[in-house]
Amino acid sequence: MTIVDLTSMVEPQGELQDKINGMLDSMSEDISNFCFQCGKCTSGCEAFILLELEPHRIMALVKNGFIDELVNSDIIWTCMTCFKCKERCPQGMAPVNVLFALKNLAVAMGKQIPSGYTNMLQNVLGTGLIQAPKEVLNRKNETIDREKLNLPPIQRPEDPAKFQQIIMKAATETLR
Amino acid sequence: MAEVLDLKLTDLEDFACCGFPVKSTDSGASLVMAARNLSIAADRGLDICSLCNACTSVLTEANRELKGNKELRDEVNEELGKIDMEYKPGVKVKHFSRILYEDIGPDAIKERVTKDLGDFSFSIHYGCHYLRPKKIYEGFDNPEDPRTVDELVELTGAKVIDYKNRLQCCGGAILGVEESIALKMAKEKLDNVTTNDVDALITICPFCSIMYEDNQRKIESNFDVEYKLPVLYYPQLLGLAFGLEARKQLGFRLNKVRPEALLKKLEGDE
Ligand code: SF4
Ligand code: SF4
Ligand code: SF4
Ligand code: SF4
Repeated sequence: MTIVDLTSMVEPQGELQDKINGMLDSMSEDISNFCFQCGKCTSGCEAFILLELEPHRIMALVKNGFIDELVNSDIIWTCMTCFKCKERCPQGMAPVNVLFALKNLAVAMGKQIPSGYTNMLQNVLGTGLIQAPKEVLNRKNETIDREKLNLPPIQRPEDPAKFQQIIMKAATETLR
Repeated sequence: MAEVLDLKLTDLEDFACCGFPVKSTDSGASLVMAARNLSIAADRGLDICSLCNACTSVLTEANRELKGNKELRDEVNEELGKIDMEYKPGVKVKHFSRILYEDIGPDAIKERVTKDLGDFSFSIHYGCHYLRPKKIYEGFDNPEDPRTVDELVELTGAKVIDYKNRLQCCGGAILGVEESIALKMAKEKLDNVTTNDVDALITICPFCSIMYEDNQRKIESNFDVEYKLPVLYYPQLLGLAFGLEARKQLGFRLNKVRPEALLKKLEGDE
C-alpha cells in the first residue's frame, strides 16, 4: 500500500469522531466543574503574543459547546504544545490536551488542516520517519550521505507495509 | 563520548519515529507508534536512551499511560497484534542528559574531565518537553526553574550565563504551520542570548538545534541581523572536557554555524 493509494481511499471515520466527541464531552464537564477562567494558562502561553491563542478562551468555548466553530478555525493549530498551560493551571486542567482533542477531531472530520501537518504524516507513513535521510551536494558537486560522513545508517521499520497497517486508520482520514 | 563513561548504546533496529509528529493529527496513532517502539526495546531487553526532548516526552508518557490503564493497553495491543507485536511494561525511557545526571552522576562525570573549560561561558536552552508534562517525569528537576543541565555544563568548568526569558519555546512546533512566526520566536531567543558574551548556546534536543542553528542564517537574512552564535549539543561540550577530538570524534565539522572561534580559543588554551 503506498501513499498514493491512501489518498484515494477515504471513508468518513465516524467511529473515531464519536470517540473524540465523547472525550470532549467529558473534558467539557471537567471545565464546567473546575476551570474558573483565571487566565493563568493564557498568561504564559507561547502562542499568545504572536498568534493570539488564548487557551482560557478555548476552555470557555468548549464548555459552551462551540466545538464546530473550533474545529473549523485555524487557531487550534497554533498551539506549540509547550505544556506550560497544563503545568501552571491551579485547577489541574490541561488546555493543551483539549487542543489535541480538537485537532484530532478536525482530522477525523476531514477538515482542511495546515499542510505542514499533512506532510509530516505522509513522511511518517511512507518511511516511518519524519524525514528520510537526505543526501546533499557539496561545493565539489560530490554527493554526501551518512555513509560518507562515517555515520551509522538510520534505523527505520524493516517492513514498511506492516508499519503502515497499524497507523493506517489515521492516515486515511487526513490525506483527503 | 558515552564510551568514556562506560555507557553502551545500541541502535535499535526496526525502530521508527516516536509518534510525536502525528500526535496533533491522531493521538491514537501516535500512541500505537510509541508502543511499537517500546515493544521493540522490550524484545531486545534494552532500555531507551532518547536524544530528543519530544521523543522523551512521548515515549515516557505512552509508557506511563499503557502501564497504568489496562483498557488502553488492550486496545493498543489489538492493533499491535495485527503485526505480531505486543506492548509489555518494563522498558525505561530516559533522555541522555537525565541518564548523565541521574544514573552516571555529576561526581563520576567530573572525574573524567581532563580539560577545564573555565575560560568559556555558555547559555542553555532546555526546551519544552524535557521537563513537561511534569507528571510523567517523577519529579525530576523543576520545570519552572530547571537546573540539571546548568549543573552538567558547570562540570566542565565553564560558566553558565542566564538570560531573559530562558524558558521560551523555540517555536519549532509551528515551523511547518507559520514559519515566519516560528523564526521570530527563535530570533527573540537569539537576541536575548547574544546580549551577553557567550561562546555558544547549548541545547539537549536536536529539534531545538534546528531552530537556533540550522535556521540561524535564514533568521539573519530575514531580519537583517548577525549572530554567528555556535549551537552545541551538550554531549559535544562534555566531549571537549573529556579531551576528545572535536572534529573527528565530536562531530564539530557538522555544525552549521562554524564553531571555529570556539575551537581556536580551546587550542590557544593548551
Ligand atoms: S489556568 Fe486553568 S483554571 Fe485558569 S483559565 Fe486556564 S484552564 Fe481555566
Ligand atoms: S501548550 Fe499550547 S496552549 Fe498551552 S501554553 Fe503551550 S502553546 Fe499555549
Ligand atoms: S527526533 Fe522528532 S521525529 Fe525523530 S523520533 Fe524524535 S520527535 Fe520523532
Ligand atoms: S523547545 Fe521546541 S524543539 Fe525543543 S522541546 Fe520545545 S518545542 Fe520541542
